[in-house]
Amino acid sequence: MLELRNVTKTYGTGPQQVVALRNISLIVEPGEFIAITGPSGCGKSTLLHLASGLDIPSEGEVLIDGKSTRDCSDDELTLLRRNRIGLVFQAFNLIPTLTALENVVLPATLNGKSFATQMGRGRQLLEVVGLGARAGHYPDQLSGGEAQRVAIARAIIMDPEMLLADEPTGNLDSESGLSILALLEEFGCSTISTPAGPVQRSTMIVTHDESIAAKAPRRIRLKDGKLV
Amino acid sequence: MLFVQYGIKHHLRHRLRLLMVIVSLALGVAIFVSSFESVMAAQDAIAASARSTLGNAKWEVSRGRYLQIDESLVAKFRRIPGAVVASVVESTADTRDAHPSNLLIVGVDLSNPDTQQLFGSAVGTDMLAFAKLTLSGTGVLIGKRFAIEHKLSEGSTLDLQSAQGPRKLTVEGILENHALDLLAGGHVGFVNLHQAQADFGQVGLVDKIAVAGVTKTELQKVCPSCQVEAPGKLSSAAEDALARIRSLLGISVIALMVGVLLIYNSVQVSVLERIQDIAILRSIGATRFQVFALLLSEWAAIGFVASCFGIGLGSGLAYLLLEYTKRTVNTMVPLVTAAHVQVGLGLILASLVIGMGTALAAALFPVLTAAKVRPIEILRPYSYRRNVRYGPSALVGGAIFVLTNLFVATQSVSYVIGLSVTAVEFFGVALMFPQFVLVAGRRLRGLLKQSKNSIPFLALDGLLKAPHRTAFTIMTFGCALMMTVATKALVVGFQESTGAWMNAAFPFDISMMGNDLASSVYGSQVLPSSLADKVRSMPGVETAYAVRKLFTPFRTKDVMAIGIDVDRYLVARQSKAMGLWPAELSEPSVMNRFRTGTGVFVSTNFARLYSVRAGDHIDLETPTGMVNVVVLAETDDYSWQHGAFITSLSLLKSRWREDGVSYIDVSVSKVHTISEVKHELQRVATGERTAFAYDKAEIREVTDSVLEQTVAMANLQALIAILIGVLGIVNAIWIGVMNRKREIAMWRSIGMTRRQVAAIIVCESTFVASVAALVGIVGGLYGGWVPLRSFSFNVTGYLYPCVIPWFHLLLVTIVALVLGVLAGLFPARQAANRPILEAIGYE
Ligand SMILES: Nc1ncnc2c1ncn2[C@@H]1O[C@H](COP(=O)(O)OP(=O)(O)OP(=O)(O)O)[C@@H](O)[C@H]1O
Ligand SMILES: [Mg+2]
Repeated sequence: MLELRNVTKTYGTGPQQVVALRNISLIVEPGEFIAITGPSGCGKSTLLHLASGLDIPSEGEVLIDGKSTRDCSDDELTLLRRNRIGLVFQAFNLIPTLTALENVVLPATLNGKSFATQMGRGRQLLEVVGLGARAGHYPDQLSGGEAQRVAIARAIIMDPEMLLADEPTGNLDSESGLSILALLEEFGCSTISTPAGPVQRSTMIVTHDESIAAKAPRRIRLKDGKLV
Repeated sequence: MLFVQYGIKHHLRHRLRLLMVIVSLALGVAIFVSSFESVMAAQDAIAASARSTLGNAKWEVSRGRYLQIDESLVAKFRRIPGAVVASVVESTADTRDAHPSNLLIVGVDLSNPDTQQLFGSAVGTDMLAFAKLTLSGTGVLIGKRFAIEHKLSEGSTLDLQSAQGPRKLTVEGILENHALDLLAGGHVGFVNLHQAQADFGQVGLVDKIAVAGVTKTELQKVCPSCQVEAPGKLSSAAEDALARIRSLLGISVIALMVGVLLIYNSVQVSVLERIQDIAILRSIGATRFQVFALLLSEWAAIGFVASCFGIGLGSGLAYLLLEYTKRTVNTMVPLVTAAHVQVGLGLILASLVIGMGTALAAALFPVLTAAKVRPIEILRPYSYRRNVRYGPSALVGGAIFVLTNLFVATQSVSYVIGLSVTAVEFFGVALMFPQFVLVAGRRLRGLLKQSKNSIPFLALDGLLKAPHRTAFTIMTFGCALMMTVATKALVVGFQESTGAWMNAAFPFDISMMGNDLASSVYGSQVLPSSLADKVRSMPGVETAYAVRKLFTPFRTKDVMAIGIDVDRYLVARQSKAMGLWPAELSEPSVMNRFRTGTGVFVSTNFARLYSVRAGDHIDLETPTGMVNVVVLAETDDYSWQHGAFITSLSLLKSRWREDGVSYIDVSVSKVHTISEVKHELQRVATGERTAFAYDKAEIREVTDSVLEQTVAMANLQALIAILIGVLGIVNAIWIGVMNRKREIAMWRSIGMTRRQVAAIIVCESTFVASVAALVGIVGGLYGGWVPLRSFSFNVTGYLYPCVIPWFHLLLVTIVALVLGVLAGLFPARQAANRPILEAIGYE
């Protein structure tokens, strides 16, 4: 479903230019579970941003179902993110004025579904991430790890085909990190039933925790913006 | 639903700011609603009077507003098949009882079936009353309301003072028709046509002919020189009164524009604060449109709530305003006594549209920016840097500013266009201003860096963190101040020029007139010319000359004709050692033409409005046909905004058939004091009829107060605008404090006292206010001298001198600074009292 073809991403111009990614090519097949590792600043977040259509490459193409993100309109990319891609950010990015539950169901309400109809599913997902009792709490009342789990619940509520998580365990001790990883793995292994038959999900997580990366079937290492 | 909840939560968290937005918007809407309502109420009352005067007539045939029409035309009109024709004499008179008020006298021939058909609905069909009226020589039918107000019953005597002198009428009947209340507020009396002609008009002439059942063209065929109009047309004095009141509406628009900037600041901040949220929404799949709709509907809702408050507040204010309006109207057309405030559905809708429109207009740009923002730019921690460049927009703004000013300076524009251009100009300044603040601020920052006291430096630094917001805040407050400075500059200019004119042109000490200046400045009561002789023979009176003022049609307008008893006027000037005025009189031929009435002086505004010059010949329409006179010279004269010409009294007597005099201007001999003579004059005057004597200072006071009354409303609105402006400062400074929680906490943690923090914040608001004062003064003087002056020049032909109202400027500066300090107090407290650790942990 996702393919990166000779992707280069640079920020800025002139002497301040930073090359975040250099000529990267990568294919993500359905059902794959990929861990991206590399030192800080090597371009991992940039890669996920490109893959989710939040940003477009400076050179080369990011193809989603064979279509370049460069050729997609903003609305097309937005709907893609809403319905088919789940995103978990490095700095989890919850909305501070909404409760945990409300944050989780937010993507669904964007589709015109009422909050009430989504409550059940939202609670269920919070249950799954182990926060059933904290549904009514606001982000500032949650710990870093809890907030991260809320962000994961939000990322999977739309049943996305692809889950992109940027350091989902970065703020956690190794034990909670592993439980989050298990959660992601379980979600990644489940299939989506569509009218055309079951479809397999793909998952891509960024981590610099080697013990977590080791558990992934496929590992990609980045260094100075290049695949190694 | 979640979206709505999200929006509401955000605003509730910042409820004080929300409150300020709502209050300022509501104030703006209130100004609009109140001025609109009072204008409408006055207009309705005047129009209703005009409409009901003519009963069921379809057309009103006349020869302009100040000329009468020959009765013989009635018979000619009756010959048109289907025509229902009635002649009407209209006049006004004042009652002479304990509570003087005016009465509209309508003279109709109620024995005539045509008249009954046209006026039956107004008068009722009491045949007995008709008969009595026809038989009695001095009968009058009055409305019930008037009867109650003046304690009149059938058979009582009604004592009146008319333009033609005192009159006594007998009340023959009281009409119980409520429709009459619409007519001059119920102050109406029907008298027999012939009696009306004899007592209040001229035999053989009528004021208008009411017609139904025929077309306009048929009427015009019979009388090509006649004016045929649908009933309900306003008199030009009424129109002037309305125009003045209408201009209040314009000022309310400016107040609303001031509100726009305040709301803009609030919207921008509320959007900026949530830019992170918006980016999250976008990254999890909210489309641009969804974000746009979310934010914009929030502001539409806020606009709605504020408009509702504004409508309520405005209706209350309208009652106050209406009192003022009625007074203004009544000084010019003494007819409107009943007008009531009515908030119609149309007005409610219009106010909602205006209130919400203002909110949306202010919100549009920030919301659009927010919706367009790319989530990737924001989601990186600390990556949000708005790369604002004010240069290009400043250039656009500058171009708009220059173009609009060129337009105003070179084109003669109508009021509405003038106002729209002002709005556009305002927009241009708004575009230029951030750049100006940025450039000037940076300069000043460089200077302040040298200073030992770091407080002004830090304050300026804080303001420059958001040049945009600072600029708009300055503009908000500055524009409000500008309004007061501009009107003051105009008023002072006007007072100076009229004062100079009155001193140069009037050689009298005391003026006697038929109307009470306190109640009606434009009254048309006249005094008999014989009174002038009587006055002249009184002890203490050195000389007395008579002046007659009347309105007469000229081209499409009604101009004022001023007839002077030339010889006695010259004597009066000589006795005061005043020299000749107008100076052109030193030319013997000019003097001769002026004396004989073959030449006239025109007022400067007359010359400008009708493009006439010395030496031109002009045609004047008179009751005895056209008169051709030569224009001797232009002279300063501020009697009438549609222009005046000065001629000899004898011309008015012979050609306008006018015998009465409007003023008897008296010079007091050296051995007597002015007040002695004034006292004596008053005594003599009241013995015979209603007359009033005023000295020059009193007249000056009245003319000044009329002018001040006209701008009093503008000043009240400016005051409200200033209030909005102060709210704007509080809002902006407070936002600055909120946005710098961390920074302020950092100051405190490295050893700044609470007092110092507070001082910085107060210093910020004082900075804003003082620059606003500067803007207000410079802009106000410019506004008063350029657009307002040229606007009044276009409309009235008066060109005032540019006068600097020094005292007012000082006052504005002091008030602005005090308000600036006050506006900073609340945010300063907030900033100083915040616990350090909590603020550092913020975000
Ligand atoms: N908007 C930007 N402007 C300039 N440089 C940027 C921008 N975004 C990223 N970079 C640079 O691009 C490089 C890659 O950044 P990226 O965030 O992808 O790194 P990362 O691998 O995710 O690092 P970390 O492990 O610390 O999160 C870095 O050197 C960073 O400084
Ligand atoms: Mg990263």
